[in-house]
This record gives sequence, C-alpha cells and structure tokens, in this order.
Amino acid sequence: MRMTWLPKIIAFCCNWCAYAGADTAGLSRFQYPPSISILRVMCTGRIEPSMILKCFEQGADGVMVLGCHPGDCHYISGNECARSRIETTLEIMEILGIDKRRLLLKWISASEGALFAETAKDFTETIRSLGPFRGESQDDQR
Amino acid sequence: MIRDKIEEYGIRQCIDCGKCSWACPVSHRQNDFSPRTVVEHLLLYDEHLSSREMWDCVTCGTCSALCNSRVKFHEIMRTIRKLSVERASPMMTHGDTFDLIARLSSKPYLHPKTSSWLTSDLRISKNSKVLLFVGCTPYLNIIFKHLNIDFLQIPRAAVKLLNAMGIEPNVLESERCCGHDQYWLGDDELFLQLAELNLKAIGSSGAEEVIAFCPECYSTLKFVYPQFFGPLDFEVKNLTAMMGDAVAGGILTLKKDNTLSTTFHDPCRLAKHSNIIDEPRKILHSISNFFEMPRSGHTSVCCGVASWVNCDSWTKYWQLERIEEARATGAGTLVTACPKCLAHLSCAQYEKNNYDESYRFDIVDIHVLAASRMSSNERGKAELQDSKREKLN
Repeated sequence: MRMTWLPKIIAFCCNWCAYAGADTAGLSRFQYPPSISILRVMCTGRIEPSMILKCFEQGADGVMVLGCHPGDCHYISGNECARSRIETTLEIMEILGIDKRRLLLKWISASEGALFAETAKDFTETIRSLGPFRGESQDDQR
Repeated sequence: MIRDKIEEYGIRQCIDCGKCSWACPVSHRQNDFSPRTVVEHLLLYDEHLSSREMWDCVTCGTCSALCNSRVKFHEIMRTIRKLSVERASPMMTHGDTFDLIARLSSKPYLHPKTSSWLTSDLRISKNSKVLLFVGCTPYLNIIFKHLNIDFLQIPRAAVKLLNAMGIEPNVLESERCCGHDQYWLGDDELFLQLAELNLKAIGSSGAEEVIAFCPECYSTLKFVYPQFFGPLDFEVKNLTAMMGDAVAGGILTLKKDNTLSTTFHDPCRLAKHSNIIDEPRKILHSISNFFEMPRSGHTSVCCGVASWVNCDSWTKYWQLERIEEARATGAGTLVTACPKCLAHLSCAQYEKNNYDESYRFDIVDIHVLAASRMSSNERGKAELQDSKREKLN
C-alpha cells in the first residue's frame, strides 16, 4: 500500500537556477516521480515562513525550497535571506510538532538536471517513509 | 445581522457625545475613522462598512470603557467583522504567519511542543491543580528574533514567581493558541476549534485553576470561552493580578531598587477588557520609583497592533509617540505586562534605533522585572539575566 501512495510535494524553485535545473532535467530525459509540483519564484529570498506553513496547512506532505548556490544568486544575496528564513520556519515547525524532515532547502544550479531529478527522488522517498502529513500523530499509519 | 444585535450592544443608547472619538487612538491619527460615525452609520444606513473602517479599529476598548451610555463598540466591530470577513479580508502582518500558526495548531493530528522552554531550575508538578497557560510566547521568540529580546524569559519568570508564592504549576505538554486573534478577527469557526481542543486538554489535566500571564489569553479564557461553552470547570486568573495581591498581602516580597524608575504601559486586554489597573502599579511601587504616564488606566493608548492586523506607518508613529510619552515622565524603564505589547513597542524602537541612537530606552516585561527583584531568601533562583538590558548597557 505504502509504495503506491504518492506524496504531495511542493517545490519552490528560483527562476534563475533551480527552475532552469528542472528544465535541464526534462530536456535530458531524467526521470523523477510525479509527486513534485513546481512553483516558480523569482528568487528563494521571496519565500516567507508563511508560504511554507500555508503549504502544510493546505495538505502538502513535504516542501522543497530550491535555489542558486551561495554566491551565484541573481540578486546577490537572496539565497542567504532564504537560508535564514528557512531556519526560522524550521524552528516554528518544531514547536508546532511538524517533522523537520518535511522541509528541504537545497542549492541546484541551472546545469544540474541530474541533481534535480535525484533530489526529487530522494525527497519523495523520505516523505514516503514519514507517511502522510495528516496521519503523522496516528500510531497506525497506512 | 448586526441589526439584531443593536439592543444587545446598546447602540441605541448612543447620545452622540463624541467621547469615544476623542479617546480613540485610531481617530487621533486618521481623521476618516471615528467610532461615533460608525455607530451613526449603523443606525441610519446599513451594516456594511468600508474595508478601512472595519480593520482600522484595534478593538482596544477605550471607547467602550469611557462611554457614558455603555455602548460596547469593540463588540460591535467584532460582530461586523464576523458578518463580513469573507467580503473584505484583513491585511495581516508577517505574511499571515500568526494566522497560519493558529490554523495549524487547530489540527487535531498535530501535537505542538509548547513546553520546550522549561529549564531544570523551574519547579513544576504534573499532578498540580494549578495550570500555567503559556500562549504564543514561544512563537514570538522565533519571529521577533531580531529584536534581541528573550521572550522565553517571561514564562520562566512566571514559573519562578509562582514557585515563590508557594505554587508548583502544571504546564500542558501540547497547548494550542488560545484563539484570541481569531475571535477578534471574527473567525468564529477557527476560534471554536482551538477553544474545544484547549478545553479538552485543560479538562484532562485535572486543573481547577488556570493562570495566564498574557492578558490576551486571560481575557479570552475568562470572558470569551464562557460565552460559547457556558460556565467553565476551572477558575481563570491573571498572574499580574495575583502578583499584585501577593505583594500587597506580604506573600511575595520584592526588593526595592531605588535607582530603578519605571512607568507602566497598560495592555488593553488587561486594563480595559479585564479592569486590572491597580495591581501592576502595586508591584512597580514596591520595586521601583514609579512614574505615571498622562494616558494610563482606562485612557491608556493601545500598543498599535491587535490580532496582527494593520501594522502601518500610522501605527509606528503612535508607538513612537507612546515611547516618547514614557520617556517624558522621567522614568528610565517602560514596563508592560503583555508579550505582544513588548514586541510591538520594541519593534518600533528597533526600527527607529537604526536612524536615531537617542531612542534607546528599556522596555521590559513586568514578570521578568519582578522575578529579577525577588529577595534572595525566596525559594528558587532569582538571578535572571535580562539579555536585552545587558546588551543596551
């Protein structure tokens, strides 16, 4: 049963690196699970803690934030902002009782299509092992 | 329909004197907002207010506290919001973060870990009949990290003070938001979900007395929960009021520091909604030289933001005005009793400090201050490190 369950994952991708990375993954025909829904943002620095919390509130099982490597940001330091905001979000998630492994921050450049597909695969597996978000507290998981 | 509530809230008793508009902190800054005009509008025309009018009110209750005819204006605003929340949604600060925290904590399948601030020197007892309600202070500590205030000192100080009064409180493992913001924003559905979960948790803890240090949690538990659920199985008390009585009754002895001069900012939920005005002053008189601000007690001005709505340039202006008022009394420290007032006033000061160093002024919580003035023979460690004051010195 568990293997057939497809988690709902929201991937915030920065326009300049990770989104182009996803494009590269598609062009190169790398396969990754269809659990990922990509949301394009101009920069990961735009992502607020509330946007991630909103995903969980609306029933996402996992959230990925994918941006440029440090130093490569199109807006100089947007990904540094993202890093500190993700830290804040993780602290809020800890108090709320949401498993911290449900949020992933990773740097993926435009050329790293293979890395994008691999990240999507690995994160889907992590979320699968954690089970559905709504069933987190139940002892008897599906 | 608000028309059905006209008698209940005493709208017809309005004699159009304008005392509310004189006292309203919002109409001092914004000429187009006035409680008197809103009431007139409701009587003469219809219940639909503009989005500005609806969300500009800070529900502080100054108007209702001063009204000769006892018109409950802040309750009217809440009802209007409840009726039209779908038509005109509010502009929330911090990108809705606090609303989402409340929404997520209303999910029965999540178990928030709200007792992680406890340290080993605090004496709590799982079998105690007294429960300390913490509220959203742990979240404030994360979101207002940049202000360099340790908000977790407030619940810690609360436990220390209760220990000194001979009480070992219980703390809920998994506490939800009290629902104050949702109630005042007119979101009754979410409020009821939160309230039901909290009442269930409090009921299963076997508490006979619930103590809240946050005035918002106190007023919500004490006055709003019984409106929906009838009389509660437990008694609700406010820590500031308890401390005031304990100081006056000699149960709690606090050392006086003659070099410390303080003034008190009355949180709306404490002074105007709950009528607790003298108790915090008793505490401050016993530990410091106390100076009163011109606007205090029932005429005290709100900290500017209620329920995380409408934090704008007007708000910042009146927060700075409040800090100026506190400085003008000659006091060196502004004391408040609400974690949110502390966050909002410190935030305005933080922004201003970037341009004007002369705006440095101590803003502290009354519980943290009182815990640091406990005499050495009191049980429990009284040495509280006030990281903010340390930093400023």
